[in-house]
Amino acid sequence: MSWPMIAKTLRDLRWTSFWYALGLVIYIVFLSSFYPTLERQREQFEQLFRQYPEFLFRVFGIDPERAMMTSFAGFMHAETFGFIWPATALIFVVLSGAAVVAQEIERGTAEFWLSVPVSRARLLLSKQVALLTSILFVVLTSTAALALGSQAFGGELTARGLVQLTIALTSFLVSFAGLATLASAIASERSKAAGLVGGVILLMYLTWVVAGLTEDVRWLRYLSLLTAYDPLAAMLGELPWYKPALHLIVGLGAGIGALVVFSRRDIVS
Amino acid sequence: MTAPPIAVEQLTRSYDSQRGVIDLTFTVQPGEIFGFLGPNGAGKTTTIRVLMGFLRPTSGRARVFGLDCWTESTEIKKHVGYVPGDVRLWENMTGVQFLDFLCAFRQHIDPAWRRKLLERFQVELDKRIKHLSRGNRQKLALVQALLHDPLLLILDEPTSGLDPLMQHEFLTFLREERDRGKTIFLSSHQLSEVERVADRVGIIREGRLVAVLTVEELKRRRTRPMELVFAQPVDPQRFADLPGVRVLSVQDDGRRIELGVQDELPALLRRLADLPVIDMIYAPPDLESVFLTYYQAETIPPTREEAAS
Repeated sequence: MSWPMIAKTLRDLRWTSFWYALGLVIYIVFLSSFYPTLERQREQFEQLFRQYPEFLFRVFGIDPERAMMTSFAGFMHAETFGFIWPATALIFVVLSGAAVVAQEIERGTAEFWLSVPVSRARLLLSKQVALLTSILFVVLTSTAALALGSQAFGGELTARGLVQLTIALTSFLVSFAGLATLASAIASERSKAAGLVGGVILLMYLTWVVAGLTEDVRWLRYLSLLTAYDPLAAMLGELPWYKPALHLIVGLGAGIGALVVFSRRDIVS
Repeated sequence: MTAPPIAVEQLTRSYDSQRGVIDLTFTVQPGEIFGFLGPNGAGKTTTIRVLMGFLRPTSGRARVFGLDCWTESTEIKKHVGYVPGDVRLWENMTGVQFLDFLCAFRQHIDPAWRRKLLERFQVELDKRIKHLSRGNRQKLALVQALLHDPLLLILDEPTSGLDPLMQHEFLTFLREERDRGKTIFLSSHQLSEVERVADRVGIIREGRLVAVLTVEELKRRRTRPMELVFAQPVDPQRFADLPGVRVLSVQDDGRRIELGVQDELPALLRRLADLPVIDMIYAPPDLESVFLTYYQAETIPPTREEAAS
């Protein structure tokens, strides 16, 4: 590990992390404030939502077969953690992850930090550790905001639910951060690395939506990392261990792949 | 360290469909300034990137202090200071943040040495890099390469962007470093710069090493262009018998003559004293004139009017 590189990368990421975290915190607290209204008119809302086509729910990450608006967890899942939160956090992770190597090669700054007596693998690992720290910051501020919203607006969330949500959100972002750093280690332009991972995410999302619509192609869900993303189960304290484990395995595998690729590649800006 | 600072053996590095460098072999001795001279795109930066472990050789070997440049580059970098050819820095850092960041990877940075470098090169430390001129950015890049007082400096066109005074100061500094026992590998496309500072010169053209020679040999081989303007037409044959002088072009019926001069000035000046010279431009030596020596048939510039025989 290289502390100077960790410190520099954290410094580079500090404002980006801050603004993404702040945006998500405001959104979570704002949405939580609607929960008392929903609770008072729960039955009417339920009936109204049941009339919408299933496709619409699937697009926004809601499984209509499971609890939807019957609890604070279901409400926050439908309104925040099912779609808006992962979409926003993924933009942060993909852009930041894609920058770790490719952007520095593109801008010509890589030649300076690659001329220091530290191996490429250690330098990139340090950048990955800094990115992980930023991910934890974004996740912890979001779960803290959720705990605050739950307390303030009568939601019923347990400590177990919050811990499991933290694990689910972190592992989910780690998986795509790993893929983003792998793409960044391969590419020489940030836009190419981000575009590659963005394309993969879009494919996984479409696969996941289609797999939820009909039994015939149900097997497609195994091709998408989004299948293992289950914030509702996490908030209810029922998160199966294998789901975050799968995300972590993919993230760590891709992260190690990034170290290997970066150690062996040519640096041509 | 007993191994030579740089030893390159039959090094070839090619890109997908492009030429990089082909079959380079040369050695840089301890305590010398080795100028690596070639036009843009000749392969200087590719060679330097191989030495720094940024590029893997396609074939052949490159060693620094006996260590392999690809597999042992981390160890090599303890002893090397490097300035890239195209200096691009982190725009949002200040100069002092930039230097502190790169210093943090090194052990034993002498504060007195750091102060001396900063004073000598008058580096702007407090402004953000995005507000610095090109010359000031270049000075920051130079200072970061020198801060850990390395045994070997690998400098890719280090004076580009510096004003003439600072260029002179930097080249003087390099000679002082050489006298302190440091080895310097300096790439340039400016013949005059390399002549001023280097002990030996490697000349690269289209990816191949054309020659490795001392600066004295280089000076004997290259020509300097001299443009003469006369009040009346002059027969170019008046220069035919002078040693080391060639007529490159004749214009305006002999009122304007361009010569190539190979350090044989006294005889030429005596001859010119007898001629109606009204103007004279004696340009610094250029790289092309060196290549003329090696590739005369290929590279003689086309004459503007008619070439004298």
